[in-house]
Amino acid sequence: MSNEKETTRRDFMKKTGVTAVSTALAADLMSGGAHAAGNDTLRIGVVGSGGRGTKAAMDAMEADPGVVVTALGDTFEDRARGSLKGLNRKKQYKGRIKVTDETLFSGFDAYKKVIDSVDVVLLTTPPHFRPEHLAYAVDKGKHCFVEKPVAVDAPGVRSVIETCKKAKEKNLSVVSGLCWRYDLGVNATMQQVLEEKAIGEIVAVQSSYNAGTLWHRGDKPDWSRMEYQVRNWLYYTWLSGDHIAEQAIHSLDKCAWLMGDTHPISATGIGGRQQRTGAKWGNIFDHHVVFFEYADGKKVYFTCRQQNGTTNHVDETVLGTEGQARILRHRIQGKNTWRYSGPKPSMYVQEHKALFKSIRDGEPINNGHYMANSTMLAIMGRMCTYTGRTLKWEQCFNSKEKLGPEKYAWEDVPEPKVAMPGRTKFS
Amino acid sequence: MKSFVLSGIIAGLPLCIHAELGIQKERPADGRCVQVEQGYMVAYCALIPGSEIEYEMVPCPGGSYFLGSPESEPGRKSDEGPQAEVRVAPFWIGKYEITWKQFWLYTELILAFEQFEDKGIRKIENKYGADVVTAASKIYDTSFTYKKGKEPQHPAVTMSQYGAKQYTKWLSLLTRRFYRLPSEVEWEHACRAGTKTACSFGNDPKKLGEYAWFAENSDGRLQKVGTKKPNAWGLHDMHGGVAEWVLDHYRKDRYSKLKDRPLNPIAWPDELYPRVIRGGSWKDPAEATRSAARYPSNDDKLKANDPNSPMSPWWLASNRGLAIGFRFVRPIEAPDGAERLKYWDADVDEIREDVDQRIEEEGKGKRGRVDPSLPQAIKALEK
Repeated sequence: MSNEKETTRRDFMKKTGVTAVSTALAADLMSGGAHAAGNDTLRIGVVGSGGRGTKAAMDAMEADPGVVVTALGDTFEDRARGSLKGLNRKKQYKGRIKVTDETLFSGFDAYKKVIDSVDVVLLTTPPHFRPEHLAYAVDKGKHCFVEKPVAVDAPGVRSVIETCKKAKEKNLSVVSGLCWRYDLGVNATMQQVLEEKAIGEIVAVQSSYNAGTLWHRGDKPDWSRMEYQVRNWLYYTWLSGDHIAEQAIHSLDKCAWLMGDTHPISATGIGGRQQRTGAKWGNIFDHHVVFFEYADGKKVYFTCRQQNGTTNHVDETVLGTEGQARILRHRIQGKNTWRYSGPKPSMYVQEHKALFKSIRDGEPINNGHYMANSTMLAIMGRMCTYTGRTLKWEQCFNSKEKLGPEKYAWEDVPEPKVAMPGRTKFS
Repeated sequence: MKSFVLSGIIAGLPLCIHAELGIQKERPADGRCVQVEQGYMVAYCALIPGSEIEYEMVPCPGGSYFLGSPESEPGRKSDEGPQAEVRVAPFWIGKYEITWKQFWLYTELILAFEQFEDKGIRKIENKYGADVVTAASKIYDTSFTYKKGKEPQHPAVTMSQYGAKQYTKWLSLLTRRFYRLPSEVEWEHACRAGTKTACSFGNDPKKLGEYAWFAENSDGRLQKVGTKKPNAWGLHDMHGGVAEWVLDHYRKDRYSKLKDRPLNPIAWPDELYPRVIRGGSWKDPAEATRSAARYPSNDDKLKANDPNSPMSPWWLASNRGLAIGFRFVRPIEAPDGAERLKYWDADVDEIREDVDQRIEEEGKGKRGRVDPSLPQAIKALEK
């Protein structure tokens, strides 16, 4: 990517109020305890070294030649060891994987040991743990890559917002794993819609993440129910936030972006589980439909589904006064028909390029606002579908409901109940 | 529905009988044929067992030809030479590239394998067994996979070479016939259809648009198979359409080592990449679609957008991947049981370990037994 394009993108992000980049001096960064000079080695650690965390470490190494991986942590030792094996096998990263038995951590407190020993941390555990891990990392003055979603409940979102404020004060970078924000094609399409007004004024967004099902990791006789739930975390609302938050947040985040990263005033939703009814599938739904209303009269009509054998469709169709835009297709039809045909480097590498460049330039990126706002949008949608009630943003955002067990231990935790609209109470 | 009956009769009979499909004792009155010891090879159309979906195979004669291109050929690259004489045994090859409609039967396999596991039926004895196929993990982001087209008649794209090989294993075990990817030498032979020119229709680049979907006429997306003119042997889209996987490891200097008119040479891979991709695609310029043009794979680049490690052994995740597909062949002489696995299964540790990890630890992808009784077992699940 040329510097020119980088500048354009950054200017654009400033103008649309995504996150203005700070102009902090490199010296300020040092107070955060991290390297900032041009070619210095940056030590990274992974908290949650499963499939995503391991690949994120590779993306980081692709993005910046000075990055070395020095620590890996996971609740499960086998996952951490598997991650190390995967990294060591890649010839292109030879000499850059400096993880030893002493820096490979497991257990619920593995995150502290990883964070303590590195300059930059990649937070890639199941979302439930994110607010606590992010708070600890920022407290310790570490730059963070933060996978989506960033919380599973409103108290978690509020915690992340507070932590991101602290990160800003400490000149720490917080880069979100809402990867489409770093995709050049999506950025160019958003620029057409938001800056060039290529479809006139936005009236509404039709948004879908209608897909098939994902993985399941089975069960073993020696697993406690806690272990079963954490290994199959996708299917437990307290761990994943439900698929509306875990997967479909990519769609809701693009909606939020189109709405200027403001929040809706109210929402109403319908959802349930039709295919995934067995006990092995935990307590999440397999479909959600949510209509969001914004203060300026704009609407977002959103659907998401994880059902096999159904028609897949993932995209946002933006309806404007002078045309329509398809965000992931990078196309505009109407008065100003347009199609993106520029380069499409990996957005996963791009987000890490932005992170490490920001650290080296002493210009921290803080994606805190949109990652918290979009996560809350997904949680609000889930609150509407679980309760079957039309809810206001303010009440959702201030919800006191905290999901998950009182303490984290390998014991037989109860099986969470599947929500029943009309009976499940908002709290 | 003639082919349906044929396929129905054939399932379950010993191999010597299966080899009869596509062979006639008498020279056919019309249509192309290839004379062999067993009689005459003819084109045939069969149904994928358990479905109403057809595939068409076309005979290619054996013989010798010059692999590669002369230095004088416009657009030629150094890996296309020196030209080397090679010999090829007769085989059938797909008339078209594998379409989404044909590929979806394989991608849906995982749903059946998951249910077999839940029910504790059709258990596997040896995970690397001759009758075991790995079903590809479910497509995570269809907006990407189908970005350039998802019509049933569009060529299927984004499968890895391993994914394409497992497809041929699955179809072979279902039909009891031996299908596999073509070797590089077979592929070029089929593409040339007896010609020595840059393309099978001659040297005039202005005619390419009549025979191929490529960068200049594809509108930047997939186009239906078989909608351009075929070559002299009746094969469509060998030039352009989607680039096609073959069996071979890519070595730039390979041709200089082909001595004494070798018969059916294959450069067996001993590392993950580069492997050979042939024929150019809808997104490539004219010169990349020539008969001799070769393209080396690079898994790290072809899977760059895979958000997980290990990256999927079955799927590519990159824009280049949206232009890669395959077609398969059936050689006149099938190797015996164990030898076949070489053409179908993981051939290097990296693939084997990734498959194991994805299936056993990540719960992505699944193993299952494939034999002619599989379609019945899948139907029974629906009840």
